[in-house]
Amino acid sequence: MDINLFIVQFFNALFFASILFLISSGLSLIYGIMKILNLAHGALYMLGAYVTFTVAILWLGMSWYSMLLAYLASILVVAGLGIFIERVLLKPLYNKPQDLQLLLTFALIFILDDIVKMIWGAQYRAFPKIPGWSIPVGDYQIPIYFILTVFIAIGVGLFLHWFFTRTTYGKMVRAISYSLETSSILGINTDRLFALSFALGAGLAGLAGGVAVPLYTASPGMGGDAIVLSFAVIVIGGMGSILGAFVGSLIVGFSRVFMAILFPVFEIALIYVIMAVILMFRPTGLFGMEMRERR
Amino acid sequence: MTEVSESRRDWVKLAGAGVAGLAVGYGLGFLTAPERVVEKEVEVPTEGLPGIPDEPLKIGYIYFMTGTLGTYGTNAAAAIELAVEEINNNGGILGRKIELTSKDEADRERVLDNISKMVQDEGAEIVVGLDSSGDALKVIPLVEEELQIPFIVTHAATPKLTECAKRKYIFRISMYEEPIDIMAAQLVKELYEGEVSVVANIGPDYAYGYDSWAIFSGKLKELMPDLEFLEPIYTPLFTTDYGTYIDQIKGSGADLLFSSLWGGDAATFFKQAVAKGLFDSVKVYMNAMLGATDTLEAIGNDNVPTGVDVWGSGRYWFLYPPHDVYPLNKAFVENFRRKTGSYPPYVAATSYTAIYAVKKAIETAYVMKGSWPEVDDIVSALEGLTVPGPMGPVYIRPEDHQGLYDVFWGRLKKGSPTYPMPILDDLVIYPPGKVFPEPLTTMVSC
Repeated sequence: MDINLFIVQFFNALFFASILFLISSGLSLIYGIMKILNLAHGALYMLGAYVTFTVAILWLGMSWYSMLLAYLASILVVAGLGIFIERVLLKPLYNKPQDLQLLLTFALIFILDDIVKMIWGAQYRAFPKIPGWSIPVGDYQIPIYFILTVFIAIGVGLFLHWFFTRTTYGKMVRAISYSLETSSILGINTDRLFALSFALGAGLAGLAGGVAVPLYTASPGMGGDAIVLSFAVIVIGGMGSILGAFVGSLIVGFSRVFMAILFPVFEIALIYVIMAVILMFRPTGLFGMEMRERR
Repeated sequence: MTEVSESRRDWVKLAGAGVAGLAVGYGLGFLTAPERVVEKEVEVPTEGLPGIPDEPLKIGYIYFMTGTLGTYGTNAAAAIELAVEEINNNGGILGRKIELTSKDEADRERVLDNISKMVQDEGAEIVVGLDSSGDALKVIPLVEEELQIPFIVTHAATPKLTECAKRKYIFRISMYEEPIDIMAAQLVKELYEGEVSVVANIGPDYAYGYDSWAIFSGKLKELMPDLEFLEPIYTPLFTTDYGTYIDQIKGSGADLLFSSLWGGDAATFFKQAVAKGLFDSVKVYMNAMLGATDTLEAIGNDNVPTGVDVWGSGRYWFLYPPHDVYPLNKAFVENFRRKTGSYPPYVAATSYTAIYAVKKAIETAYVMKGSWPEVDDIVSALEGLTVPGPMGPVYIRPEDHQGLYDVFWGRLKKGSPTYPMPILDDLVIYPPGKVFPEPLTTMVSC
């Protein structure tokens, strides 16, 4: 492989990992704090894609400025919906068997798919063009938007790190994820933090959809396909760990891209082989153990 | 490439003239066909014909109605409803109204059960549909041995459905993949001999992708044995990031790229390929499924690259046969747009035609019998039937129950300002006799 091809492929892997991280960080966060496996996370990602498409293309017309507003709109709309889902739908189920939460989030996939169909129709929705120009690397090209995606993912990672280690809210959220009972005895308003956490996770899904949609083709049901690899990511990285989501995304991203080149038959299979091996030797994932010990 | 472009243009012009000629012929032949306009209410006697049951005729359909493939079912359902509205507004089939019942093919575990349910519990006398080739093959024993009712497949494209054995109750009205891929190889030979040398493939990672490449490359090797064929690339369904494959193809030195990617995947791949400059090195791109309006809408007018010949095909193209000479297609496109707001994709045209095939078969069988036909009478009438559809007349070959109609490949052009999406232009049309294999033969292994 010539060096230029190696560079662009390395970058392809990094880009793919970035998208995975944007999706899986929210999923992992909600699970880590609330112990809710939100099966509808992919549907929230889809909604983010549609909101960004609507604001940036249908309302404002494509520009970097409108993209930025569209991202913000996606985060707010989907986070707002997250608060509604948590307060109205999930809260009554907290003291019931966990199957009911799973069932509810599963049902939400279909409900949100249908809502998208009602609002935007069943046809494909896509950006007229991938925004920005491309940077040449020898004979190859890297679209600037791919690079932007990587920076957004890194930015989100840094933001989450700052939020959980430096802000009072973040510290309280971590406290309830270690022990809900102790935290509420200490006077932390767990209700409000649950809503905040779910909103944050949902907002991340919204942003992921918004960042992804200019490159992809949006259609109802797109969330289902996005979510499967994200589950692999958080199982590998450790459910509930943002660092785990980060490392898991890199592992999945790089293994996929380099298997596609070297041994295409195992392109997808390898990801699940890695997942199975990690589950065998470290059932909580690479970075999941820490949390369990402290709980 | 440029030196021969003049002669190529002439050739395309010639082909275009041929198309126009054929189309005029069709147009004249079908000018007398009943006009299908939804609003038109015609008083048809609903009583009087002897031997017609009072209760409506129930037709079942099954497509992917939800999930990523839900657009297929939604479009097919809209077209079926359109056909049924037209027929019912004109008095039904021999005075008998049609009623619909439907199931979701996305309910993966219960495809067979749901088909049985429509027939046995809900009283469907005829079933149309199926997007997935896998499902179509699974359905064969159920329909042939147990249900024994006419089953018209309108989308699933594996040759194995009709060409591996003669079915009794199963028909397929839609074009299958083999004639499209064979024509692609013939077109490469006719237009690009001496201009391309290295051939690559990117297709979906399941039977359809493998079969398409086997047919196209098999035929092309036969026609142009000196070409170099690269190891084909297959990508998982609903891949969102094609960057890796695009750079791989670019690095391989391929100048002809064949693809059987479809739907949103075809659009996502194409847009990323444009952004990553794939068409600086690939000179001819042929996608067997690009001629789908929904895919083209997702690609958009701004993504039509220059300096590369992009060819697309499919099972129906909404501008062929041309509207000015073939009013049935014009009416269908207009009515479908009125109903859904979109230009009809192929699955709409084939499902619409299936309903009219049922109508025509029942009417034909009734003439012979003098009373409402039994299942076997309808099956016999479907064999050898020619039904005018939006894609032109469709002939149902009796030997294999496969619908035959013109095969097209067209060159991608900007559709603006007339159309919101790129369109296929410079259409090259081959009549079925030139590209359909003999009945019950196929290049894929049965």
